[in-house]
Amino acid sequence: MSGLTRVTGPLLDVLEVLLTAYVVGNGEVHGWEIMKTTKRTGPTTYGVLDRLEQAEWIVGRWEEKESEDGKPRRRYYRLTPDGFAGAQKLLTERRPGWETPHLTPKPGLALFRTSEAR
Amino acid sequence: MTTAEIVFAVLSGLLINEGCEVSPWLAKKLTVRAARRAYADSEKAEVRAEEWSAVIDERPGKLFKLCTGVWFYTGALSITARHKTGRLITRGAIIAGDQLTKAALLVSRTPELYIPLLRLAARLGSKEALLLLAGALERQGRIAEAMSHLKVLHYTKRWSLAWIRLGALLEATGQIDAAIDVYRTSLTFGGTYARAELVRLLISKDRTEEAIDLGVTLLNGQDEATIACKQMESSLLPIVRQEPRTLNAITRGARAAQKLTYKEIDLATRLWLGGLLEMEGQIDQAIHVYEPVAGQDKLAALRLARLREGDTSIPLTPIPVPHLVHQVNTEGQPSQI
Repeated sequence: MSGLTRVTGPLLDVLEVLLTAYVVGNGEVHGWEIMKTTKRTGPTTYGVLDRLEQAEWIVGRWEEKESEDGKPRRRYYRLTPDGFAGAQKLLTERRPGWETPHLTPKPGLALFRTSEAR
Repeated sequence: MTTAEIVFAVLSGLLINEGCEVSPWLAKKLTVRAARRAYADSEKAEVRAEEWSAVIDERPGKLFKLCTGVWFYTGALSITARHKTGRLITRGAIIAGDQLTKAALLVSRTPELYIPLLRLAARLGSKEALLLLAGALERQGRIAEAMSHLKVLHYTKRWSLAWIRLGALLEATGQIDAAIDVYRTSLTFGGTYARAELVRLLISKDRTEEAIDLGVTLLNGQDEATIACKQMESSLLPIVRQEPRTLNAITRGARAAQKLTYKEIDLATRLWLGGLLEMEGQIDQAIHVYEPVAGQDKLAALRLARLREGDTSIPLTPIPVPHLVHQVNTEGQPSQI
């Protein structure tokens, strides 16, 4: 668990969101989405993100969009391979009920894709 | 309706309307200020300012946007307050512990400036100056000279700090047996943490039985860390009277530091003591030592499980306590000079 000296409730909450996005989502989430899901305040959430960035468990990237009248861009966060392994380990240890989400195929599309692949 | 009422109605309407229009702008200004307050690194502050502005854009309603801005700003204020509290805690620890620590910090920054003054003060009979002088010389790498000054501190028999420092210097120059003797002397008049240093040296000299004896004493509740905590708490009282504004921060911080110190020492002590007992083949005693901390420490739980299964093939390497003690000292406790 390099770089993470303190394990707190908010940290585990944020890791849950990031891990879920990594496994079943498109891999990344932005700050507002994390705040909404964890129901944690902005300063708490960003405090955790700072620590995770420092520990190199996550990387951030700016939203790619044409600059529309100077609107601020969102920043997306994604777990690094180290972060993924660490988050899985940490959540399994600290949250006994936690299970890493698995990819569940969407019925229609999955069947379609499988037959296509054949 | 009087003229005043009409003017009030018009003005309040204008104010509310303008206020609502200004809210999103104000919210973004607040986030920029909040980011600058929360992050010392200007590049990071710029990143967060834009990111938080994007969060504000996501919020529905103009007043809601303003609330979010205020929310970020108060969050940043609390971060700044926490940093400030950290500084106060350090200050509190310094005052509570010893003014010498403060002086030592100053001296260690620019030893060459202070050495002549300290020499003069030491000649005039100040034992504190002599101790600081030794520290300054040590800082400059003049170890032998520093030691000679510490040795002339004949009254250090009642001053554990000087003895601990001398022990450290002897150790640094490879005189381990002499360092052990010095730490032992320090123990006789309550040298804080000297016991942990002593145990480490005893282990390095393969004197494990003596180390175990000391470790057991350290765990029985009458160790130096506990005594130091009590002393520190009582020395906080004068500050409480003098500086009521900083009272909460200092007392809370100092108490947290004390608890941390004790907790860390307890856990680490148990781990190395358990390791020593395992190496000595005293498995029942090792189990007894690991049991109380197995719930909070993974390593202790692992060792306990293996020992209960009868697996004693790989004894745990004892973990040196002083490393932890030093870590705690640099964070919150007044360290030895």
